[in-house]
Formats: sequence, structure tokens, C-alpha cells
Amino acid sequence: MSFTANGTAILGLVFFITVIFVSALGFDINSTDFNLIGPSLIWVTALLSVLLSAKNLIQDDFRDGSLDLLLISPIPLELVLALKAFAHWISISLPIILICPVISVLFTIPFDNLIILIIGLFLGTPALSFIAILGASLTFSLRRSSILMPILIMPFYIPTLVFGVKIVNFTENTNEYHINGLLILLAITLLSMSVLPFAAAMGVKSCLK
Amino acid sequence: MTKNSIWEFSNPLKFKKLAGILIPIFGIIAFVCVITGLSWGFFYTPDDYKQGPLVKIIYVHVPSAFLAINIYLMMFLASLIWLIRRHHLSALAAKAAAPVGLAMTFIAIVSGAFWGKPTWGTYWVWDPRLTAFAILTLFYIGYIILWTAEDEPDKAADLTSILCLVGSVFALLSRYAVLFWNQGLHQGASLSLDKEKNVADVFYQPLLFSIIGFVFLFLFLLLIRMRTEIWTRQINAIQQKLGK
Amino acid sequence: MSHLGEHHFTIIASYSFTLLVLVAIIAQSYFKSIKIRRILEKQIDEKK
Repeated sequence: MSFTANGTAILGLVFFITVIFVSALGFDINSTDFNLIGPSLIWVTALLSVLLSAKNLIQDDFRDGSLDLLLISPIPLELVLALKAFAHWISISLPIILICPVISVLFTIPFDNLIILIIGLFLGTPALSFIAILGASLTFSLRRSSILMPILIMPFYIPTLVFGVKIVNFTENTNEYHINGLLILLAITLLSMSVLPFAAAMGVKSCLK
Repeated sequence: MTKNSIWEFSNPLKFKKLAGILIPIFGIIAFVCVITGLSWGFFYTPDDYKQGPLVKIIYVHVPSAFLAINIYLMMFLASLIWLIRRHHLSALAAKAAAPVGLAMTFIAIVSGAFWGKPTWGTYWVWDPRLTAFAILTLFYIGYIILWTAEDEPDKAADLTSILCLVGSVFALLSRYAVLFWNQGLHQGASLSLDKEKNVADVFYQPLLFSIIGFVFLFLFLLLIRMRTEIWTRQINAIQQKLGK
Repeated sequence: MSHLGEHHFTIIASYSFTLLVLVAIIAQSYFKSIKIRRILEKQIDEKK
């Protein structure tokens, strides 16, 4: 599973960089707030990268019939889906996190903010992949699933997005603020990782009955 | 009522009979209460000393907001019951309730916006409550769309139930996220919209009528829509038999 | 105190919007119910 994902890793990264760069041009360079959009743009683009690359996570296996094989294999479906989500995170989100310092130069993000941004991304993006696999499990057998899944799943990204961004451009400089925010991100991710594979498995099974 | 007799009505036949009786009753109660609540509230209550007559928007804002949240809660429970006990009526109830809930969120948001304009100067502010309701709208819309995307009823019920269950968790998380987004970790000064919790007695009674009226309106609509769904399934069943 | 009159407009606008939405959802529910019932009765007659 992770091997097929690596093909999309480069694509995902290129998508990320392209969207960031083009979107930046949509903002007013002369406004004093231009640099502040950096963390927000990075988070939102990361979100989109995860979302748009996830729709084939289950659909490909469905199309070539290997999904049925996965159902009868001794490995529980929940674990299979969890591993898929994890592999997706490694192939899409990790490169994004790694390239973040480079991207941060575009917006002259201060070093302290950058650290919070990266840790936040690291703690929060797994949730995005796990939520995405839930979305994939619900929509893979439906027509127009490629537009349907983002519609259903984007609202689920709101908590991670809000906490991820808010703790970066901070004006309150207390450590407690950052740590609390990061802990919440971690909590959301852990919750997603523990609960969503079961929900996703339910979705897959009901589509294959 | 013992638990057994409630589950009895998960039989569509018995439900239809019950619905036939309850629908006109609920309809009348709803009509009377809503009209009473709104007219009493609008014409016969004094103006608030600070906000003028504007506070009377609570007579539509509070019931709709109350229902918007509680209908989603009801959908959560109905979805749970479907996934566990497979009562078709449960899935139908959630499906039927969703558009009503969506309508309630529209009313809540727009009435909140009208309330906000004189208070804040703009129709929309990204304050936690309005934003949270906008997010709830998104969850409602997604749920309704998913129902239309799948033809096979049991599968659609499964998918939408999962969406609703997981959605409830994230909707709750979003509520706190938006609070954090707007006000940081510490609660700032509460907005004037929260004053509605402290309304004086003289405002309270028409509000009660209004809320009860809206609740019965929801039940009225719910039963009508559920009955329509049952008929639809009957039609499909007949068509399948004819097709054979 | 002309702004009080403006407030009355706001209240009436919000009440009207509310009634509009309520009427819309009631009408949609009701008319769909009638339409489905008609189709069902036709189907039952055809079956006979």
C-alpha cells in the first residue's frame, strides 16, 4: 500500500507548492498583512492536498477487486484502513512538513512561529488523513464521488485547521497557549486515529454487502 | 410506557396509523402556539430598556436555534438506533428531520444576523455563535446530499448514519474550535446575544409559547415527512413486484 | 428616536423571513406527501 502511495507523494508535493505559490499571488503584496497569510495558506493548502489526493484510497482497490480480498483476509479491515490512512499521511503530509521551512521563506515567517507551525502540522495532519479515509469509505461507490467527498469532509477539518493556524500567528506569548493548542491538535488526531477506522470499516462493509 | 410499546411503533403500519391521528393534532397545536407566541411577543411585551424592541427577535431566534441543535441531536440518536437495531423507521426519522433542521438553522442565522446589524453594524460577524451555526448548516447540507447520492435505501441509511455520528463529534469540536478561534483560550466579554438567557419574566412567557409551538411544528413536519417516505418505499416495493 | 422605528423594520423583516422559511418547508412537505400518496394509490389500483 505504501509503495503505490509514493507515486502520488511527488504529485502531492508539487500540488502543494503550486497552489501556495499561485494563491500567494492572489493577495495584495503591498498590504502589511501579507506575511501573516503564510501559516493560514500553508494549512489550507495542506488540507486541500490531503483531501484531493485521498479519493482514490479506497476506490482503486474497489475498482480492481482487491477490496473484496481485503475483506476476507485475516487482517481486520479496520487495521487495513488505518494503515492506508497512515501511509497516506506519510506520502502527502510528511513531505509538506519537510518543505515547510522552505515555503516559510516566501512569507518570512519568524523562526518561533515556524516551529509552532511545523509541530502543529505534524500533530494535526494525521487527523486529516484519517478523516479523509472516512470520507473515502463513505463515497467510493457513489457517482460523482470526487466532488462529493470534499463537500462532506471539509467541515470535519475545521477544528484541526482552526487550532493549527490560531496558535501560530499569536500575539499572546505564553507557552501555555501554544502547548494547550498543540495538545488539542494531538487530541483530535488521536481521537480520529482511534475511532475513524472503525467508522470507515462500517462504511466499506455496507457498500460491499 | 414500557420500552416494548415504543418499539412497537417501529412497525411502519402501526406508525402510519399513529401518524394519521397525531399529524392534525400536532399541526393545530403548532399553529396556535406559534401564532400566540409571536403575536404576544411582538405586540404585547414592553420594549427592552437597552435594545429597544429589537430583543423581540428572540421569539424566532431562540426557538429556531434551540431546534436546530436538538434536531441534530435527534438525528444522532436516530442514526445510532439504525446502526444498532436496524429499525427502518429510525433511519427514515433522521432523513425526514434533516431538512427541517436545515430550515431552522437558516432562520436562526438570519434572525441572528438581523439582530446583529443594529448591535454590531453589520449583518455578519464571525462571532462564535453565528459561525457555529453556519458550520452546523454545512453538516446538515452534507447529510442531506449524501442521502440523495445513493439509491439503495439501506446502504444510504448506513452511510448517512455514519456521517451523522462522526459529524456530531466534529460539530461539537468545531463549536469549541470556533470559540477558541474568536476569543482565544479565555472567554472574552460575552456578547449581547447571550443576554437572552437573562430575559425577564415578562418576556419569558411568550417565548415559552414560541418554543413549544416550534417543537410541535417540527413533530408535525417530521411525521408528515416520515409518512411520505414510507409511502415512497411502498411504491418502490410495488414497482419491483410489478417489474418481476 | 427614529432608530426605534428602524428596529421595528428589522423585527418585521426577521419574522417575515422566518414565516417564509416555515411556509416553504411546510408546503414542500405537504405537497410532496400529497403527490406520493396519489402515486401510491395509482400503483395500488394498477396492481389490482
